[in-house]
Amino acid sequence: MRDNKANAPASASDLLRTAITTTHRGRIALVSSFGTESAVLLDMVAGIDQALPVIFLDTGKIFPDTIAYRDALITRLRLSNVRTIRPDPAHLASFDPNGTLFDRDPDLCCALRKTMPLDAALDGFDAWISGRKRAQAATRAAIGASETGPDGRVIFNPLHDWTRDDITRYFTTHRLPPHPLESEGFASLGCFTCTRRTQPGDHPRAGRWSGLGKTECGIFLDRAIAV
Amino acid sequence: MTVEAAPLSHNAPLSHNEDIKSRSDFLRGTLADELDQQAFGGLSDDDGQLIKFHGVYVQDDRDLRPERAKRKLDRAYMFMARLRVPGGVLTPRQYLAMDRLATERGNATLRLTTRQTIQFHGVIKSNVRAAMRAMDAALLDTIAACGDVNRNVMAAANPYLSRAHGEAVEMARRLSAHFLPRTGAWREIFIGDERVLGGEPEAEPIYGPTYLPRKFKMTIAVPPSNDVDVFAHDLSFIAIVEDGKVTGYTVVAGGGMGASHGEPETYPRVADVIGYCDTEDVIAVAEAVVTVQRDFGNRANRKRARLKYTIDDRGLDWFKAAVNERLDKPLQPARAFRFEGNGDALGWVRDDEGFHHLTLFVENGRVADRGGWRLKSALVAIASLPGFIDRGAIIMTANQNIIVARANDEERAAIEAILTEHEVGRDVSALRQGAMACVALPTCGLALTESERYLPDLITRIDELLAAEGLSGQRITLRMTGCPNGCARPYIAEIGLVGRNPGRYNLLLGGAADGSRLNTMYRENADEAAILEALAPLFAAYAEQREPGEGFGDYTRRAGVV
Repeated sequence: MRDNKANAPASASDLLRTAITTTHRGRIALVSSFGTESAVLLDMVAGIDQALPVIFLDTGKIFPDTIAYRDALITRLRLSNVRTIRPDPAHLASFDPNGTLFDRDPDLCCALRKTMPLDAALDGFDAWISGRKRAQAATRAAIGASETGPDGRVIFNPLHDWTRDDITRYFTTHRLPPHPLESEGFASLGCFTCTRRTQPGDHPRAGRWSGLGKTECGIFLDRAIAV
Repeated sequence: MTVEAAPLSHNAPLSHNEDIKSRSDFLRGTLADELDQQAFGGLSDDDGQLIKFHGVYVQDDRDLRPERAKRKLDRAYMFMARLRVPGGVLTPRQYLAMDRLATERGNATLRLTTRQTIQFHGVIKSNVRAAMRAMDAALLDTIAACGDVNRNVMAAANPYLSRAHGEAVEMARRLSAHFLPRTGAWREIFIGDERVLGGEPEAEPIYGPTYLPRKFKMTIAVPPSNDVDVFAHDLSFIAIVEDGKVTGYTVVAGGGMGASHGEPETYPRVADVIGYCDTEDVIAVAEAVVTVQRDFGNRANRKRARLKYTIDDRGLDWFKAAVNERLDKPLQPARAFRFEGNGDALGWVRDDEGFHHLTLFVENGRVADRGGWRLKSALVAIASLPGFIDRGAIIMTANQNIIVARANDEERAAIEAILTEHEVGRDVSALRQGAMACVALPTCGLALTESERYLPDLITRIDELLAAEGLSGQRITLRMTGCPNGCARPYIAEIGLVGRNPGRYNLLLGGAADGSRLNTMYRENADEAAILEALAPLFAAYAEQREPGEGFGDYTRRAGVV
């Protein structure tokens, strides 16, 4: 597949269409961070079904510019079923009452603010779509078009073999607006507490949990933490 | 129960605006061509009506009218563009972009409105598209900010104050997106997108090709603050909070401020409580209310076309039944709520996570630099602060103030220094803090009198009366408009002043401090001397006779003044 670069958009869109309209009809959602590259999948999904459930995790610590970007894409692409999921206030009250858990235990913070809310939001779905790409990080170099996730659900990765150039080309061709923080030096976006600007030559995700030896929030990892 | 389907009074011919809408090809009209014509600074009458749906008004500088008429010149046409900002929340970067827009394409001021958005005045025709493109680049638009559609959706200010506030603002964004017109006209006319040909036929699943009979306004409140004035809008949702989360909303409908002088069949009205719905059903309830108004609202007489008249003409019971008929889950009995006021609490507050939020007084919502007082520059300096620019927010309140939200300890100190340096944030009287004026002259085409340019001086005189009675610290809502259409919601103020003739106002008294009650005419067509003469003895009596905690509006009712 990788050498068939010119067809990357077509094959990604075909994969999405089959999953959304046939194999997993009514039981599949797109999980989107509304980050720097998210508009590609959102645009493709809007071309197939504007009412497809789109799950967005508002950790309470995301960049306000990401919210603004989400709302602008909802308007432009006419996405009618974006579900913004927030952490359980009871969990926050117990484990992170003053919002500083990210500093003490980032894994637990991600579990409270991302993994657990996502797991709850995916109740009733048996597949979901992610925007992960091999080129994003060494830990993502082996992902394929689909896989069985840690919770048994199918995860589709339609952009698994896309390069940065493929993404840029798609944005240009489809006149998609860039995330406002991309030009500010953020290649990948998570929470403002744990994301820093990247330097030229860095991996796109080098700014995530920088200096912590942590590369993933955990939504793609085995569920080890039980709260 | 089956709802009678026959329209009431629609034997009368449809209003001209209905014709404009139905012929407009989903709000396109000939706007794209007319904007290209630079020889004439305005628009044709019909396109002038149509461009409102895109958040823009044709206006002119009324100060210049007499002189230009003498010289046989056209009016000094210019446009006003109003943003759509559900909940009034901008990122610092968006605010900075809007500040630049005001300087480069407008009159170098930003006008915060009573409905949590920004108006840009003085945009000349050749700058309209450039202004819209600057908004688009900042991920903003003016879609449906005016016109016969659901306007900007308001929400209790500051989503970062509590979980409930955050949910209220998110609901406002969902409502705004759900009721946004589907037509691609805005991007085609102003941004230059191609019309999608050969795709799905364009349609307006909620509105239909003639949209609504008249404007439609929604708000969401989080008690005990009624900052958005739920009783003054067509449809409002009052958050019912349990264990820190919003379980659902008590629904009120049928409020509206506009009236016409000398036409008693037009009047302001406070909304009625119609029930309660769970959070998950808000969109369905809103759609039921909007479509009842779409189908039964008066399309013959625009002065009687708001939802409040549909309800009064057919009865509240009919209305509730008509709404319930369109719902899978009927409205539940209303749940109790309690409001303490409709003003903003000025100053700093600290949230549970240690971030600081500053509510900053902005007199009549005008952000500008004038002499040593440089609010516009101060807000630019604040929004640009490293750290804050990535995390913070600039929020417009329903009282035309600004909230600088989510500063850390160091940023708070920096913000205080910036305000001092720019001579912003000086003490203002309690009366001035709770006062609002609409824009009026010289830009608003409807204004009969001054409002924004006059109220500050009038407040100085009224403050002298209050000081004489030892009432300087008393909060009293005072609202002025330059015409009876009511943009500053004067009819629910404790003291309302509604422009009648140049220099003369109707003085209305007896509104409630929480915005839940209409006031009543006390003096008609009064000039400044008559206003002050009327108020002075009332303040004296109020100071002497008020009961503990009794507001001025409540007192004027109890004492039988009105």
